[in-house]
Amino acid sequence: MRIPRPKILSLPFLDDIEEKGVVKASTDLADDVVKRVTAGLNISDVRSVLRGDPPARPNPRLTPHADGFWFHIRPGYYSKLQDGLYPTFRLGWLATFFFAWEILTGIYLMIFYTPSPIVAYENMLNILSNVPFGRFMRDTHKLGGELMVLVVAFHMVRTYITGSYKRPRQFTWATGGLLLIFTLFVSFFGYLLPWDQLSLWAITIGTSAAEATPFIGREAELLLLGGTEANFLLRSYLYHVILIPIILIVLLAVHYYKVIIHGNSLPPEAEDVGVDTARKVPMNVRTYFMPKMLTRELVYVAALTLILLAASAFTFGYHAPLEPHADQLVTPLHTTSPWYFLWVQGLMKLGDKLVFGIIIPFIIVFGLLVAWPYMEVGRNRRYGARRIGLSIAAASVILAAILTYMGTHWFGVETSPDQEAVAVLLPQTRPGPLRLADWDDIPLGTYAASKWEGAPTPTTTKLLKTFHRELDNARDNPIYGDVGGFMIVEDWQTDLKKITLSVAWVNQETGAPGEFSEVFYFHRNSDYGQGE
Amino acid sequence: MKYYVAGGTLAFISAVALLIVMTVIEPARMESFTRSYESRQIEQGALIFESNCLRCHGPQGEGTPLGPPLNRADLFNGEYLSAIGWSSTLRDFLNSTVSAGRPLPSDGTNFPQPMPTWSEAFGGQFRPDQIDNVVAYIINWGDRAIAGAQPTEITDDLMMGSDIFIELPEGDPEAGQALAEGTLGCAACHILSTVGPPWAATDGLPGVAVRGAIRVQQDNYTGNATSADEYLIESVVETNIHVVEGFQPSIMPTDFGERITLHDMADLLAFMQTFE
Repeated sequence: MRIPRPKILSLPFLDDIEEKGVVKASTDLADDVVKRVTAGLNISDVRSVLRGDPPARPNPRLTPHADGFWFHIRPGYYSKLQDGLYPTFRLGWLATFFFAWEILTGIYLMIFYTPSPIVAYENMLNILSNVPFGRFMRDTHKLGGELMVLVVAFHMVRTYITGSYKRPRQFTWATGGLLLIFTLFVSFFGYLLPWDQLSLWAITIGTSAAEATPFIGREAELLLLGGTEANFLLRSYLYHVILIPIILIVLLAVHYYKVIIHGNSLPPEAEDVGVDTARKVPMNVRTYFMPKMLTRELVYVAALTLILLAASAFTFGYHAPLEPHADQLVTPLHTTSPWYFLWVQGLMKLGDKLVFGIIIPFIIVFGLLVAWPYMEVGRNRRYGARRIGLSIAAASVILAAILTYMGTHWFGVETSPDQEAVAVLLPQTRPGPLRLADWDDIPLGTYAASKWEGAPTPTTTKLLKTFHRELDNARDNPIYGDVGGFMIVEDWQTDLKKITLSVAWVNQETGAPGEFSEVFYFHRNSDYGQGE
Repeated sequence: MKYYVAGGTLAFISAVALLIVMTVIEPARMESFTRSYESRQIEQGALIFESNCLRCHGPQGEGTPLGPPLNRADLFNGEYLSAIGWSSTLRDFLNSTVSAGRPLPSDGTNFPQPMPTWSEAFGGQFRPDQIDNVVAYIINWGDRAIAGAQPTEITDDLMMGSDIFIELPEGDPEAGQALAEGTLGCAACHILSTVGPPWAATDGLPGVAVRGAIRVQQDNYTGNATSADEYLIESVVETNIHVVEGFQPSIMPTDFGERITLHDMADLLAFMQTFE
């Protein structure tokens, strides 16, 4: 006889046990939980997805797209013409993956970072020496950021080539263009945060254009940079971690929504001219998001995670650079903006800061980029019908490459060959051959670069040979006569050697002797090349 | 589909395995970076010392008439700190002295100026991390200072100073050559290049062994030497008193008098006398 349980608490699970027994009640509960989490798929549905079984009718795998948040931002089905690598190469998904990767690693780094010039650099050293996974997080955050810039740019190029920006997807393209621009800026402001020489000078160059803003140049610079070093760093930090990420998230949401609304565009050759059939995929050519697209995207995630982990896990591999502490009084030899803004630096070498530093790159180039589909309104997406448009794109890519080259120090920058030669052995921006040399293998003494063959040890032979070779630039220069390079190694302290690299010459125009030297104190255990 | 699932699962398992490997090697990596960071502090500190502290404390911290020696045993073995009643560590003592300087020269000393303030916090020019670097550099003298070893090999000798008429011991030209080509670095400018006046005979001028005798007779000679040897000693220890025409003052380091001993000077002179 059933004993009536007093109904003090309503516990439906206990009622279920009473009714169906423990096993059945538990499996039903599990089924229910899975169905709630996946917004519509129960355990057997999930298993059939994983097994790759054909869906039941009506297709339960479409329910999450209608009812769940995470899947409602993805289309429920695609055309079979799109489930392979071509035409999308999944670059959009890749960009989203990197964005998520940057947020996760960025949050980890935020825990150990204070945006103040007094401690920011110390925080970097602490992250490298004292935080578990600190070096990895820093490296992978930097690498992920640079790759994200690349991936987003490739995504744009792909969209352009397949003509997917054309009606009705103009606005999707515009949000994508803005996403690219803000991706550049979020990465740019992140550059400053380590507060090392690289940060300070890359950003100083990048923001030097701000003061050329017409009428409100001073105000614009003050607003952007805050006037003092402390404000400068704090503002960059806030742009990097709050303002631009919020803009990116909003734009990303709109971008995804537009993809749902318009469907993924088919390869240009698959449709009649001027017709968009992405939303009307016949049943027989449909590929459902689950399982095919989902599996492939998850494979991408697993493989990329593995690659990114492996890239920075060990001493070899990619490591984010960390230069000496930022110093307004010491300008490194070759300062450049980040690589994706070198084209702006190249432009600025051509003339006026206002025209070439602001109007052309930020108003004309970025403006054209965002507004392109509203100006180039031809309906035909076929490659053969877009010869002019595709040629413009190819020309732009080539022009960007040329301008990028012009932005580097190899173009239009006067340098002195004596300093260059010393900087090859003792660069300011990375460890370089001297710092990476074997401490024990550099005996005390004075060595001439020209006599590298007679140097006492393999290490000194190698260093002096490099030094001698690099001085060829000075020998080719008519002003430099009688060029000689010297390396003086002195015993200085316990485990510390003083190494002086010196270049001597006679100025052929004035007859006066010239000399340039740089000192490096070398400690036995300084062990460069561990990823700094 | 099967291959995708298998590949993805494999990648996922490998990623987890890699994470485990990283977790295992991470403590060693952090320790290694800490050690190299401490070594780099010494390197950076040496550069700061060279451009800011050397004038008063000497290139090897041996002290000058302007400032006390730092490279000395009693600073590192605790005697000095107990004498002045400092209760914290040597690192703290050095850090506070370098940061805040000294308002007055210490009792019993007669230095012309007190130690200036160096830290930004006290009106100086250095950030806290730079002060730490200099302190790390000074502390690195400890081992040799306590062991009683001097930076140069000859320990029972007097420093040369700037008296060019001082009586020198017998010199050894080979030892002099070793100095010129080795730690003193004379050879870089005077033998291997012409940044400084060449020691060997050139352009109708005889070698330095006899050239000084001509120089001291010239009308534009501004030094005090009266013989070829005195002229050579003067050029080493009183660099700027007479600068040979066509060269700039202070290109030649002005601190050799404080860096070399009487023996070194004698050896160097003997070597220079071989350039006829």
